[in-house]
Amino acid sequence: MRLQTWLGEWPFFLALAALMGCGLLNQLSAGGGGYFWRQALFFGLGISAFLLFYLLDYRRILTFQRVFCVYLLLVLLLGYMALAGKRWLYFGLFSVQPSEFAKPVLVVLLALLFCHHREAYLRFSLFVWANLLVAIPVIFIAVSDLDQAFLVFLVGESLIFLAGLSRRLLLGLILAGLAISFVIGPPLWRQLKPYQRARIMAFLKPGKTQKRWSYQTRQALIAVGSGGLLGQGFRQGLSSRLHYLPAKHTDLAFAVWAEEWGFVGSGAVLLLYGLIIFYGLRAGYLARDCLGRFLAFGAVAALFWQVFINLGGVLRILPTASLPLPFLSYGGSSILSNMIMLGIMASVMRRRFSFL
Amino acid sequence: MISPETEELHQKRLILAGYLVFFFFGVILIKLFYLQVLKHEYFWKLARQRTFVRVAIPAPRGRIFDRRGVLLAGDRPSFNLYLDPFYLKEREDQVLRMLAQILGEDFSQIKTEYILKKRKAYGEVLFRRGLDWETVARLEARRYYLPGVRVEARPERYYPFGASFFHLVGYVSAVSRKDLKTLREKGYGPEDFLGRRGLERAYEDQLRGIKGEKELEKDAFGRTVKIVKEVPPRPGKDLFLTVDSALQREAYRFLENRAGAIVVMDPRQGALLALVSAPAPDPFHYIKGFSPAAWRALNNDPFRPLLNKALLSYHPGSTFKPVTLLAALEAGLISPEEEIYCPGFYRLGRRLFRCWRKWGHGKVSLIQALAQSCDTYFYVLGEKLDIDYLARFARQCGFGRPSGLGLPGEKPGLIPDRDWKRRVYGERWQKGENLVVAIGQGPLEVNLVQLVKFYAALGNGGHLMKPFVVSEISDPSGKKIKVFTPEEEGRLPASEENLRWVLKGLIEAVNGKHGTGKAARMKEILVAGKTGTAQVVKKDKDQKEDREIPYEKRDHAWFVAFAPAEAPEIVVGVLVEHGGHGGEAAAPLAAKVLRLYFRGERP
Repeated sequence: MRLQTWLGEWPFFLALAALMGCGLLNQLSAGGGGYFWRQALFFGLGISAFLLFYLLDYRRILTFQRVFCVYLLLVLLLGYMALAGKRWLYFGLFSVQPSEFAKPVLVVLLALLFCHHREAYLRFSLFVWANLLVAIPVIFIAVSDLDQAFLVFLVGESLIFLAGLSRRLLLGLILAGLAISFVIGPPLWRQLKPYQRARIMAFLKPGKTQKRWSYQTRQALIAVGSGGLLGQGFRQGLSSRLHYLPAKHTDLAFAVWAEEWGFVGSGAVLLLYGLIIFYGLRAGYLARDCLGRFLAFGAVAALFWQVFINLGGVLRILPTASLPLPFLSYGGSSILSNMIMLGIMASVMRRRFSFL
Repeated sequence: MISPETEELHQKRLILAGYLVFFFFGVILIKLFYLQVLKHEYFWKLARQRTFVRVAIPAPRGRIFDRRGVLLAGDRPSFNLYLDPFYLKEREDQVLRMLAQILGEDFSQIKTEYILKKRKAYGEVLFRRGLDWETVARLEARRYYLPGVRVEARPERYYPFGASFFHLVGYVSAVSRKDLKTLREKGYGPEDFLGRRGLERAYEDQLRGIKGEKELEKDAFGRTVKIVKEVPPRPGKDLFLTVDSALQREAYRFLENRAGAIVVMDPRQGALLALVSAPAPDPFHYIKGFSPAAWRALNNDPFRPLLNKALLSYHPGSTFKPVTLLAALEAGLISPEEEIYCPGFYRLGRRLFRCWRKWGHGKVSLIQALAQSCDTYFYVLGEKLDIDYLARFARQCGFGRPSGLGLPGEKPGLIPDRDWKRRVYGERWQKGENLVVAIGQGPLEVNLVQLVKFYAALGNGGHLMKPFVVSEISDPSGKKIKVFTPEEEGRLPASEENLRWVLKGLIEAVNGKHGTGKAARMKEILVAGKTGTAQVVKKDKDQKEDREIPYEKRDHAWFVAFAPAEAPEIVVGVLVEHGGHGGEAAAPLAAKVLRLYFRGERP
């Protein structure tokens, strides 16, 4: 039985390992030695977290009480961060981004909330409760990091989508959404920071604002485009080597990758993400229990949205967002949070045949 | 447990999610394909434009040497001050304040200049050129406090003899924006120098060499990361002149406080030994730059220092008389033994043509006519001569066309004839004009080099040698690219016997009792020569003494001589602009040159 599981799932582990390999290579090129070793350390930590959640039985350790306590602690921390107006907590040698951990906590909490729900569509009261649980951290994160808040919001809504929205609810939501956006849209636009407004403007009207604002987008496009089919070669990329790309080891890490490895390399990375997402959806499909299904789907949804928003920003499909690309960007918090989610997902995958 | 229907619905939603993921990833993949494969060329070009910069490496300009190998024009290091905005960014004011102190200038001015220049430059800013040693030393001593400040030695044109060679060698200056329009296709850039005058301009193509090129990889901060490709420059060719720098320099000194020109030539070959026009500005000023006041003064100077007077055309005055005489002798209009009575004037119809000597020369022979420069004698010849014949004759003697020296800006002069008169004035030629042209006045114009060339032919037996000043062009390794040999343009259209008669007249003019050019006489060497006094304006009858005439209206003084008369080694032509009488103003200068040449005497 074990063997069979492994035989069916080895591409997932291979894809994960390959992505981490790509991340290390990319850091070696974009960030240099220091970033490479620290990224390797983060991957080590991430693998430990992954194995921890992979080997433990998620049905045993994840109870609503425990997770809700963690959620409350996180909300307190995020509230503090919002009041202090900070994104990072500094601990001497390293720093932590608490908002990154909102994703796994929220995925687990919502999965626990929804798994006992028997009906095909979400009850209205549960819908309100779920949205309230999503909204609190989102609002706190939004104070200092709008992009991240949007991402957390998308992850939460994805889980609500899986739990099921009746047509009546959907219609009501759309109408309410339109009404609210007309009422609070303009003041919110004024509340946005100039750089946030400029990013949206740069996306909507590229010609007008390009000169001043979209240097980052322009350099990212040049980097990606100049990669060509086979790329300029490892550590040979003109844009990254000569510092034309800003934030090249974090937000624009994919541009470095695409420049150095070309269409073949970037397509391969996309394929690896696709494989992981495919296995996550498959695990959710095959899961015997409802909790596992929601957990696997939540993990994969979080991964998908991160990848899509980041790549969309780099390739100018969406406005630029300063979010890390999982595994390719430098950042311990991001790696750790993603590895926790994938560990839970792998655990779901592993346990689909056990009936305990 | 959950009902199977709900589970089925969940699974349907998962499949829907799968399709959505597939769709969005499809969009990303298509966009990637579009950017990386379809638009690759476009973005690769953008990346290259942003990263690679081509920088020209100036080629060392060819040097110019005199006949003995003395350097007349070459390159020497000049110290340029560069500022690097990348290193200056943090402490701009602090560094500029210190720089202002060292350069002894105003801080705010320097700051403005820096900001303006920074905007135009990419990377380093060329802030000052041509620093002196003292400033360089002071900058280097405070190097620690001046990050981003760099002094670099660049080659700069250098003329050791300064003003004396200005008109012959010329000068170089930076290519202007106006020039660039026409010169860009020839490979000139805004930082290049261009020969502007004299030989620097005439031999620009040989001297400039071929520029090299460096392809640099620049990073986002404008720093050079590495040199991708480097094509070394090919230095320009060196010129070796026939000129003697000592003679040239002394000749320039002889013209001190006067406006004029001296041309010295070897009549056997046509090689120029000196070509001086005075006064002249120091070519160094063109490299360093003029102050507006100095530039205005230079342009308004009545001595016209910017014009090369050896190549401008003037009325030749009496120095043209040998041409008239030869033409008349060849046409058989006068026999050499014939004497003409000069009462001090000549009457043609109702007009009276005056000899320069009011009381006349009495009976004059051919030799005395030349020696004393009797105008009446030549009025008689002029009346007999046909103007078209005389013009043809003069052209065969090398007048009315460029001398062949090849220096830019040479005026070919003017030989009038009937056709010219009709073309320019639409009138018939008057007989009276014959007489004026015969004594070298009227519309007739020649330049000094043409005159020297003609007198050289008189001395060497009728060989009209093409004057030349560059004897050799060679590349920096010493390989000869081109050697110039003496070239005979033609012969004077005169028989040997007639030439001999003219020679006798010229000898008498210097050595005779009544000769006009007595000032050029030498004890041990027989000198032949001819003076000339060219009127600038028509003289009124009641004109006063020369001294009181305003400078611009005074006569030009000419003197052309060669020595030794029988087998000349050297021809000297002197022009003193508004100098007065040829025998008084010009001949002594020619004598100084001759003495310098034959005795090595330093007056």
